[in-house]
Amino acid sequence: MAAEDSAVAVRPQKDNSIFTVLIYVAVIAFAFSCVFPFLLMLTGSFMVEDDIRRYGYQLIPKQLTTYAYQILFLFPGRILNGYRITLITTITGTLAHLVICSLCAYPLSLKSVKYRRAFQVFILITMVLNGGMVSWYYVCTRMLGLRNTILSMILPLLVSPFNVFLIRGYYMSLPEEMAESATIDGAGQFRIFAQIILPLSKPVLAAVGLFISITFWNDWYHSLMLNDLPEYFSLQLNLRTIVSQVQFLRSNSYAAGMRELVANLPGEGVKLATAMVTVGPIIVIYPFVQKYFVKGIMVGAVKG
Amino acid sequence: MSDGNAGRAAGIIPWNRRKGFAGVLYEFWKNKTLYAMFLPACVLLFLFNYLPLFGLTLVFKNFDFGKGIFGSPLQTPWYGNFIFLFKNEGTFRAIRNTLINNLSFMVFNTVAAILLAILLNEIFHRRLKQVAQSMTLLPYFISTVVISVFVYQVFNTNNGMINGILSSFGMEPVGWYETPGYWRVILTIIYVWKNSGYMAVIYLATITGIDNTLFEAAEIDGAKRFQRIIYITLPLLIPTVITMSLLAVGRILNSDFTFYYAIVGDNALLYKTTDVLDTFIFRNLRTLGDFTMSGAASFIQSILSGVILVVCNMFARRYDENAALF
Repeated sequence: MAAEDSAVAVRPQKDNSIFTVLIYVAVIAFAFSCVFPFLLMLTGSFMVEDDIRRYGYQLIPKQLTTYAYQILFLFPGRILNGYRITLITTITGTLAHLVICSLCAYPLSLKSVKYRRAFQVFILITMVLNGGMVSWYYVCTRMLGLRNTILSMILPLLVSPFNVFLIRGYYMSLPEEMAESATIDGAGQFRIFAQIILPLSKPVLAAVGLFISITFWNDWYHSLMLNDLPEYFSLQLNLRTIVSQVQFLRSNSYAAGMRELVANLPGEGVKLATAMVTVGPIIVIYPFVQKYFVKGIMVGAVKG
Repeated sequence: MSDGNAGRAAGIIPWNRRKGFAGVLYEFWKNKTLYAMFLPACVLLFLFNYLPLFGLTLVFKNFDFGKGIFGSPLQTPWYGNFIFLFKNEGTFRAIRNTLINNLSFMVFNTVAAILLAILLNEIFHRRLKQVAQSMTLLPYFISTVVISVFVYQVFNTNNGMINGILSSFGMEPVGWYETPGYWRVILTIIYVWKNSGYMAVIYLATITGIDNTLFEAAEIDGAKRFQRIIYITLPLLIPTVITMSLLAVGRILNSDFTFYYAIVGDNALLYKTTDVLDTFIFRNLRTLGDFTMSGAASFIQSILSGVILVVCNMFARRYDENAALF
C-alpha cells in the first residue's frame, strides 16, 4: 500500500487531458457494466410480470410490486432449506478446510521433517493428475456412499493443494528463531504450531478462508452430481432448478398453443427474486471485504 | 561423524543414525506429532484423488454397475471403449469446442485484463481507482447460476434486453438461444466479464512493482503518457503474461463445467459450439448412464491434461522460477 501511495505522488499526471478523460470514461464504463446486471436483476424482481413481458427488464420500472417475493415466501420451505444446507456447508466447510490445510502445511514447512519431500510429492501429484469426472463420481457414490448426504458437498472441497502450498509459503517466511526459542522453553511441536505459528498466520488464513467460503457458497457442482433429493439441494442448485424449468419451457415451446401457455407462467419475477435471495448475502458483505479479496489474490499470485 | 564412528565401534548405533526400516520408524516416532498433522489432508486426497486415479482402469473394462469397476471383466479388445468413443461424432466436436473456446477465453481475457490494469493504473484519483477495481472484481465472486440469470435477461428471445434494443430500432428479434453461431462470442464476453477483473489485479500488482525511476527517466526524456505505456509498461508486463498464459494453456482441456452447464444447460440446439468435453462427459454419464464411453473420454482428458500441465509448468519454471505452479 505504501508503495502505491508513493507511486501516486511521484508520477506526473498533466499529460494530455483528452486522453485522461477517455481513460476515466473507459474505466467507469467497464466498472458500471460489472454491476449493471445486478441492478437489472434487482429492479426486475420488483417488476410486474406483465410489464416484463411487454417492455422487457427495465432499470426504472413503471410500477413496483413485491409480488414475486410474496410468492417466494408463501412457500418458504425450499428457499429456507437451501439456506440451511448452504450455511451448514459453508461454515463447517470453511473451518474444516482451514484446519486441515494449515495442519498439513506446517510439517511441509519444516526442514527437521525428514520425509516432507515424499508428502509434498504425494500432494503435488493430485494437482497434475485427476481421475476425471466419471471415476470420481463412481468413487463418491459407490465406494464412499456420499449420495444424498450433506457430507457430499463438504468433503470433496476440504483439501486444496494450492492453498496448502500457499500457507506453507507463508509459514516459511516467518522467522525461525521464534519456534527455536519456544523449543528451548520446552514447548512441544503441536504447541509451537498452535500458539506461535497459527496466531502469526492470520493474514494468509483470512485470505484463504474468504476465498474458500465463497467457493462453498457458490458451489453447486457437488450438489448437482451427488444429490438428487431436493432436501439436499443447496441454495444455488435450487435457483438452477427454477432457472432451467423456466428456460426449458421457453426454449422448447414450438407449438403456438404451448407458447401461449408458457407466456402466462409467472416464472420470470420469481426467478429474479430467487436469484436476488441467493446472491444477496455476497453483495451485502462484498463492500466490506473487497480489499481483503484484492490482497488475497496478490498473496496467491506472488507465490503459489 | 566421529560420534557415529565411536558408536559403531562400540556396537551401539544411535537410533537417529540407523539406516533402513528402523531409521524410518525412528523418524516417524520422533516427529509423530508433525507426521500426524499430514494425516487428515492425505487421507482426503487419497479418497478423492487417488481412488479415482485407480478407477481410471474403468476405461479398459466392460463395465457392469452391479460388479463395480474392479469386479467387471476386461473389455475385448482392451481398447474397445475407445473405439466407441471415437465412433461418436460428438467426441471430436467436444474436443474442438474445448480447444477453441478455451483459447478464445484465454486470449481475450488476457488482453482485457492488461488493458484494465493499465487503465486503472492511470487513474490517480485514489478512491475512484479503488471503487472501480472492486466493482470489476465483483463478477468473479458470483456463482455461475446467477450469471446464467443475467445472460438470460440479456439474450432471451421474448423480452431480453438486446432484442428489446433491436426492436426499438425496428429490427427483427434474434433467436439467440437457437443459434449456435453466436455462442463462442457470447461465452467469451461472459468469461471476460467474469474473470478479467481478477487477472487485472495480478497485472496491476506487476505494474505497481515497476521501478518508478524508469518512468521518471522517460518523463525527463519527454515521453508522453501513451509512449510510457507502450515502451515501458507493456514490455515489463510480458513475463507475467507469459507465465499466466502458460498456466492457462496447462488447463486447456479442462473447462469450468458449471459455467457451461448453467449458461447453456441441456440446450441441444447450441451443442455445435458449446458442447465441451466436460459437458459431453457429464451428459453421457448422468443423462445416458453410459460409464464406458464417458469413462474413455474422461480418461483421455485426464491423461492428456496431466501431460500438458507438466510440460507447461516446465516451461514456466524455466522462464521464471517463482511463477511455476510447482
